[in-house]
Amino acid sequence: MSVLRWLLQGGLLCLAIALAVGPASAGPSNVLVLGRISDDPKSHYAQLQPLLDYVVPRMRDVGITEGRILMASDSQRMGSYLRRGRVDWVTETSGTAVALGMRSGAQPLLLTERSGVREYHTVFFVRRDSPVRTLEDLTGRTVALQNVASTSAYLVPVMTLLEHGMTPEILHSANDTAAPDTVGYVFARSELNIATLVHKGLVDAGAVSSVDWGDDKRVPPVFRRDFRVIHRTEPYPRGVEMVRAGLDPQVRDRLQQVLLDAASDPHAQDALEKFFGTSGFHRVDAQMQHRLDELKQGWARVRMEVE
Amino acid sequence: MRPLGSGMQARFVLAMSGAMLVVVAIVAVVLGRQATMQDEVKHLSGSVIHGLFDRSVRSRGEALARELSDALANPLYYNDLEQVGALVRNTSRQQVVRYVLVFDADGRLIHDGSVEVLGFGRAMTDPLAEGAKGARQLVVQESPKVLDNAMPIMIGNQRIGGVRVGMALDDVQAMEQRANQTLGDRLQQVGKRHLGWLLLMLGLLVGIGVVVIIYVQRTLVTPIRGLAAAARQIEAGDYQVQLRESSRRDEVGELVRAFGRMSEAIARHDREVRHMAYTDALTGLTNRLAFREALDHRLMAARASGHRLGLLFADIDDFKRVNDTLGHEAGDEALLQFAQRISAAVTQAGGDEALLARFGGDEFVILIGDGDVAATARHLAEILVRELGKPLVVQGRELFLGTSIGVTLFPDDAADATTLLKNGDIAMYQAKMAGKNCYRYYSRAMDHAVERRVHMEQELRGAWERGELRLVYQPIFRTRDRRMVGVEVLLRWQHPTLGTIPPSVFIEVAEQSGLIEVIGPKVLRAACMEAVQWPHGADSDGLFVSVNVSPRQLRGGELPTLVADCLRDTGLPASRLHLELTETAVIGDEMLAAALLDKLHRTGVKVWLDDFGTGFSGLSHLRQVPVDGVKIDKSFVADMQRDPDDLALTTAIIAMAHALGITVVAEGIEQEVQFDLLCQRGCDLGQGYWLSHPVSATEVVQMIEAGR
Repeated sequence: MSVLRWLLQGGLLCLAIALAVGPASAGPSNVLVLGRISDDPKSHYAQLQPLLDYVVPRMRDVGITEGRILMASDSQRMGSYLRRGRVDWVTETSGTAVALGMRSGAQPLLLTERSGVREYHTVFFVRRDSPVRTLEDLTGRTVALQNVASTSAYLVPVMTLLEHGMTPEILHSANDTAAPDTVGYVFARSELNIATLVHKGLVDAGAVSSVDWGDDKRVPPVFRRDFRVIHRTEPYPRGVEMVRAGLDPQVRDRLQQVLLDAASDPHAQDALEKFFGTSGFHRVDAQMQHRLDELKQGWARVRMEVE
Repeated sequence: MRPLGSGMQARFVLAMSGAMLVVVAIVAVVLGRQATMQDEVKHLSGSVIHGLFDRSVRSRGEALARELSDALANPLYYNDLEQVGALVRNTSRQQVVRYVLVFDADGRLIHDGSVEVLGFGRAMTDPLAEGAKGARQLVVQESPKVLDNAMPIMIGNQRIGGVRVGMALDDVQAMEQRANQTLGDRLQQVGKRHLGWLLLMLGLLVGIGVVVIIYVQRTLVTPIRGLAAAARQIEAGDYQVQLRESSRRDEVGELVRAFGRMSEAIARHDREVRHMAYTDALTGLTNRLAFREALDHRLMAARASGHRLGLLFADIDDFKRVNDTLGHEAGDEALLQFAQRISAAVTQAGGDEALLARFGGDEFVILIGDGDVAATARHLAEILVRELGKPLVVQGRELFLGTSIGVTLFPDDAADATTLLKNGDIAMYQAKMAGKNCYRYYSRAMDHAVERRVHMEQELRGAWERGELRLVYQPIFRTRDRRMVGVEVLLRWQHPTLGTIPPSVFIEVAEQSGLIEVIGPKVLRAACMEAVQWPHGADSDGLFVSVNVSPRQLRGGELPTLVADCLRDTGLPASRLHLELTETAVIGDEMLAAALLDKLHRTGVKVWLDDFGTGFSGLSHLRQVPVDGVKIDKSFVADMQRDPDDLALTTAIIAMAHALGITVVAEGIEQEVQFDLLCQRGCDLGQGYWLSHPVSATEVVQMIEAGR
């Protein structure tokens, strides 16, 4: 009975959601929908809204009169939204952007510069007294990563390990030991946790973004001075603005232009700052396109070989 | 404890009771205030608690609604009903939360915390739903039982639903009541505790009061009452006060002891005063007052038993002379010796019940009450006369004093004490009249004699002023040539009703009563004034005038001054004034008499000794007493012819007087034979009826002029 009721409730819930977000589904052409994968829609909403409010009035001549925000709890769902045209524009890290592109055919519109940083890379580090000198030394050892949604602290390091011919294997906890031919990894949830686990010797190595590596709050200096970097990856774009496939080219181009101009528009500074500390947008150059392509391949490989 | 009156204790008890009442009143007021305060505290606390609970429930409801609205935003956004349910249940489980309802933007129920969520998708129908479901911000609604806090659930500016948190007001009220109840109970407990303390202290206070009252009663009231009772006892005359000996060291103890000492002192003083009142200070004998009381008692007893009483009234003869001549100390010494002698005599012969008293001055009274009273009295009187007649030695001098005693008997002579004493006095006086140094029984006749005498005394007082007294002059002749050389001044009293009173009677009265001291100087002065007017006779010398001076005047000691004054005032030559003193006046203290006579001589007057030969002194006295002349008593002159002894004595007196260079005057010459005899024996001067009767002043002048 309860199963039946749950089913019934699930149906009703779907119906409710359909009703709640209904107007976005068969998105009228005058509405620009900004999407975001979020586990905290409430706070992210406030980060997205100002830029949307900045952009929408500047797109009136391409028929956009209203902006909306639609958040999804994961990339799958966001992919779905993008496929179905319910979300027009998503801002994401490069890893997730690559994933969305794979799932929905969404295209990168612009690269996002945040806090003056356009690109970053992943830093592998061990304790200074660790015998680990290279990535290869990590075989049979453990690495602390953030979570599956992370680009710099999951996708890129795992990808890198695979590229170096190693076999990353998820461990149940930091106390687990890795198989001799694998590199065990554990999710530590936050950069500070990663640094702590390494510093306390619970794991052999950690991987964080170069931005986080330099952030004293995430890798405290007292820890950092005991660490030794054993590997830095190739750089990747810091963020990517994606638009869905099938978006009106006029709208797409205008959006691209408005965002590109925004960096130099004083009226946009506040909105940009709220927009995850964005300091500017840039067109996708060949190098970065290459990097994105690499990420795309890497993502596919991780999905295939690791997950 | 004596019944309460208006005494100190009563007042103290009253004051204590008043204080107690005040304290009780204060306690009552305090209790009343406390009850009021408790009520106020309860009321205030109630409102505070109510406010506290109210604010608490409101703020909590609001906080819960805000928290939930915040926490529910993400799950609701993603339709995570499980998460929504968990949050709702968490909150619903909290105390005083009646319900938590999550609804969508249209007000349809999404979750109520239950597993089933029976109302899912339906519009909420409760009375507060309408106000809550459209809330754009916190909406607080209230029904009697529920406080509904409705909060929209927002994603950005998009309202995706709302949450209602219903706070159970009735539960809160119940809690509030319980809190109030607890508070009230506590307050009551506190109040009871306070009441207990207050009552305890009140009891303590009452106890202290009772203790103080008892203490005051013991230490103050009882001793003071004891003292008051003792004081009343003393006031009533009972000095045998028994005061409890107080060993207390405080003021009351001191008071009790001082009171004890005072009562002893009063008793002692009383004894002393009684002693002084009833005792003669000098002799230690019973005094007049005590004697009167004793006499009254004895008389009463004697009347009842039919006994007789005898009373002896003794007066020392001429005692005043001792005081006047020797001084009062000598007088007192003499009195003491007399008292001792009388006392010894009474002890010897007065019987067991005899009572001796000094009546003051030189009067002693003896009461005899047992045996044959009359015989005892007579016997005692005889002893007394004999014993007291013996000479006394005072200050080395021998004194001869007699005593006159009056004897009277009860009930024979008198029926009461006053009369008895008066009779004794009269009898004593009669003894004096009878020549002193003897005793006399009282008789009725005495009464009359005394009365006459008293009457005479009264009449004599003022007789000079009324002119009833006049002077006559007895001429004194020189025997050689029978020429008148002087006169003796004599006094005559012609009373309007009593007639002529003989000098021998009224001079005695004047002497006894002391009137002589008034009359004497007047006579002296009048005689001087008269004599100075007389013409000089053949000898060219004026007549001398001879004035009798009474012993009293002599003892007064002022005689020389008086004489000098009279001579100066009247201008009479001193040589013409002669003073005649009786022999007895100079007997007893020849030294004093000699000194006095010496003083008189210096004024120039001559002093003659009157009635010479009748006294006890004898001729030897003449050597010690410097007189200018002696007058041979008329008894010698009268018997001279018949009695050879008298003639011999007279002859011897004349011879001896001439040997001493003293003039001799013979009195009472009534016959020629007598005159011749005296002339033959060389008597210088003579007077008497044969020579001349007393004459008036006018006749004196005629006789002078006649050249006789």
